[in-house]
Amino acid sequence: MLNWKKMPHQWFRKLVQWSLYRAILECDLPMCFAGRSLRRTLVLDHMTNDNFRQMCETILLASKSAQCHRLTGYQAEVLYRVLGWVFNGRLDVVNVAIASVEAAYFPETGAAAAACTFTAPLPSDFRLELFDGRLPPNGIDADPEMRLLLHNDVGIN
Amino acid sequence: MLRWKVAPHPWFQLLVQWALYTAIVKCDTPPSLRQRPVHDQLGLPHMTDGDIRLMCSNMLVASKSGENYLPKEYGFRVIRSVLYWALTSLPGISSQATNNIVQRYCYDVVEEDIRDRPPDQVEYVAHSTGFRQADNTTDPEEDELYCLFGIASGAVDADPRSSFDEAVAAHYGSNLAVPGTTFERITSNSYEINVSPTGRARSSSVSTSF
Repeated sequence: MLNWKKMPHQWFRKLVQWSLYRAILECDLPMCFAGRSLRRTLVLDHMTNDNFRQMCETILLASKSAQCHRLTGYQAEVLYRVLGWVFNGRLDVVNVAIASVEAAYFPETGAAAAACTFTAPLPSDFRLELFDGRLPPNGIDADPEMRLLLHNDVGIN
Repeated sequence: MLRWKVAPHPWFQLLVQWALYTAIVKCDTPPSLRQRPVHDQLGLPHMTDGDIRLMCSNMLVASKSGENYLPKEYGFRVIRSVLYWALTSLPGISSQATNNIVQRYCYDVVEEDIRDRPPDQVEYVAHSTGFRQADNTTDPEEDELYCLFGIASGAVDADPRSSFDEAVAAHYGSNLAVPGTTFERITSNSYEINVSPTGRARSSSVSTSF
């Protein structure tokens, strides 16, 4: 698990894991399509494709672990951009979904987090660090939360 | 590997594997994203997304094997749909790419026999074949340029046994289901991303169950 701002619901954990799988697969695009690079699309100029893939793997492994792991700022920013990429262009996902997810779940937000990517990642950004605190409980039920963050088609009662 | 009309070049094997991985992951799209079903997107109305995932998983395992595996016609149909889907999502690819690939690599499949029905159990597996595929005398780079980008630089080699039935009958007679040589169905809902289509070394593999 990752050290989100609050205890994540299952739908969100699956969404994060699936998005990371998509990103990893995109990194594995055969050489004949070498002109396309998700790393470039996500404006991660100080990472190589291998860096990017490795970081996605690291976050994925952490997210699937039973123990809670602390995201570094760089990891959080990469994950934020990967989620934004997955949401982009989906008819059933509202435009503000990534901002809503960021506000609800991401431990670090805004320009400070984005600033991490102005330099190359550090070796520690490719490692997992255990988080020994407890995540605050999630005060919203799974379904209303999902609809509010992604689809915005129902309010929270 | 999968048995094609001619021995596949590495670029084609990697492309097929990548397309199969992509299809598998898309079948696993979380409900929260409310995606249109994959079988709908692929035009395979008689299969569920679970069916497609299972068949793609089987084909992927077969394609990564050191032995030759011959899919059934339904398997080829799914692979073709998956390839078409993958190729249309990529920039710069010729609109004729799938047709070029079918012409170069795929056996002629009698669509009428399988179009209006779901696959049988036996059609989810590829069968081990001991025989060698026809040589592919094309240069890999020229082959890739022709198939994907429509840039032809020479004559296209074609296996004179282009009919699927002819090719099968030539080696099996009428008994395609050779006992003990089939892949077991993959029943677990898990897979690994550990191939390296770009040729880069991968030190870790990731398995998942959604």
